[in-house]
Amino acid sequence: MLEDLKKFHLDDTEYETRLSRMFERRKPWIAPNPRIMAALIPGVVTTLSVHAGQKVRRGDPILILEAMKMKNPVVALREGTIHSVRVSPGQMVTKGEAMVEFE
Amino acid sequence: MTDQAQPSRPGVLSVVQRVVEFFRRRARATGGGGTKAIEKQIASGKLTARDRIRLILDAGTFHEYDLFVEHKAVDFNMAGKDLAADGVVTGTVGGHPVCIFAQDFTVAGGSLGLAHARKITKIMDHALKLCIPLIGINDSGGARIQEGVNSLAGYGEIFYRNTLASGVIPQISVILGPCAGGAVYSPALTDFVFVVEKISRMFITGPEVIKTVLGEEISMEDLGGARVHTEITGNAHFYAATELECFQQIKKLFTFIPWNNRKKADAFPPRPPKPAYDLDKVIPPDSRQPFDVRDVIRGVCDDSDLIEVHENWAANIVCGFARIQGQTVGVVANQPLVLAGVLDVDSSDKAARFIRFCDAFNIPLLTFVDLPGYLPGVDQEHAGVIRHGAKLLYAYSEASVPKITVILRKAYGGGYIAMCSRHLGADFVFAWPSAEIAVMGPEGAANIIFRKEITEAADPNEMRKQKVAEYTEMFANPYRAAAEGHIDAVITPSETREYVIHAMEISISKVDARPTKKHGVPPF
Repeated sequence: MLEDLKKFHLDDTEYETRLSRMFERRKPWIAPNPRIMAALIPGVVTTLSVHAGQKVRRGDPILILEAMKMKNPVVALREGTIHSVRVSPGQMVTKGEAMVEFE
Repeated sequence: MTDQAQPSRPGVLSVVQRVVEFFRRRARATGGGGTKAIEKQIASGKLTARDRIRLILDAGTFHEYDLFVEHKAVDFNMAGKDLAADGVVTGTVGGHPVCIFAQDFTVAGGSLGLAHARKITKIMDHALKLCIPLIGINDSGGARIQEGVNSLAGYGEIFYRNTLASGVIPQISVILGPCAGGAVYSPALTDFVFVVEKISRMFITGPEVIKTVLGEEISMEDLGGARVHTEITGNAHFYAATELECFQQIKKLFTFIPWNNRKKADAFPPRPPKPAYDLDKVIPPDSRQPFDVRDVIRGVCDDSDLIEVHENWAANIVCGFARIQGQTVGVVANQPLVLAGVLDVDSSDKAARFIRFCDAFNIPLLTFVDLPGYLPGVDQEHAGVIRHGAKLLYAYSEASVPKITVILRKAYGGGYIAMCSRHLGADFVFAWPSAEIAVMGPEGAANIIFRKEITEAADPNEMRKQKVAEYTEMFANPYRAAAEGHIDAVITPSETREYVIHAMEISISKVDARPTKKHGVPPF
């Protein structure tokens, strides 16, 4: 009689129920990678100050991300060596996109 | 006797000439943006502002105010520009009295300048003073940019009044066109938002800005269309396929709610539920199997008539208005048919807002409980299920209207407490014999309590089954809670309506004294 029923587990119990679209679309959680510097907002990389192999200290400029009508300086949050740079000047990045990887 | 048709002095108009002049001015003002703009409005599938008002209200009851208001803007060649009625129609109606305004998209795109806003705030002040509901029909391109900061002032003055009127008079927003940028916050502050397929569009920043700034491409419909707001965001409470269907929904809603917070909703002649809804046959034998909780609501309420709020958003909880013996009740029910009826971020938010509306407007609360608990998940925890879930506890505890709870099946753990339990101040708690009021479900509980016995048993699966059966026998019933007085009566499904009627009748003079305060600080 009732259609579209699926299995749903809670507290070791299996229920029959419909799943909401929001529930089915939910994204699995991925642990953040501390070596990756990702864009916090979407924008365009205008200036790039580092290259692969370069040593940086905490607070050193990495690049400028132009977004929301602002030139946002992106700086190193820790000391380390740049493993790879995944963006080039003029490139548009989306939110969460990896820009620079540390070793 | 003087001859009225002849002016007594040169240059002075006769009465007849004055009336003719008035008719000419009125025709021009009610002509909106002119034939071309009106044709365009109709071609885009929309009705005109005044037609919308006429179709919502009883025939012949609309009295228009401020038809001759003119804008005073001078910058950008605005001086002398004629904007009929300044793009907004306001007025009142008898019968079930309301104040109403409708933005006229045919006049300067329904853009909001100071005079336009002041017409709206004037009718809002009127509604608040007369203690009658306010309906706002939104169809506007947004701020009238030529008027600069004055149009922002206009929005602010509207928001301020929306807030003052909140909880005093019911406020309804009908989105019949674009409603973008700051304009969205007036509807967001009102009690109920109605949207119509392909016509309603609500967003803070539109697709063009999103594309420029973020590089994301999306259509207006996918960003802020009627379905988005009724299914994903929860910004809209009622969805209709056409404007006419929307107007019927508004008229129906009005039969369930009072004029203001000092009145009760109109009483109707009592009618029994339809015989098709047999409460003794609704519930499946296994508590893990679903049923449509709306069938229980329809089996209890007058004429099996339920009007759902947020029908397509957070459908794991059902909120809506119904009548018991002709009196309006606000119904909140877990829906086992969707996500097993769990509480989560959106369902807590949805129910809390609904409960606060009912409490503000003297509508008793009738709660039906069947839930396994809260929805687990990183997304839920990170979305703040603690903060949002707390809204539900706050709303139920704060509500001082009569609170009647019927536990149908599962009432486990925190979910049991949250769903208007005795502990949150329910006045009446009834439970069906199928109720299971326990700290958690038998499987989960047995696995924790008897972990040692189960793991050490020669046949762990057999031992688990045995322990689950033991736990079920001892705790998965209404009698433990009844023994503590947490529930008032165990009743059969077919006795439910009788008990609910009884509860409503004897709580008619309920007094619920609360500590004096300016206002609480709910977790929103």
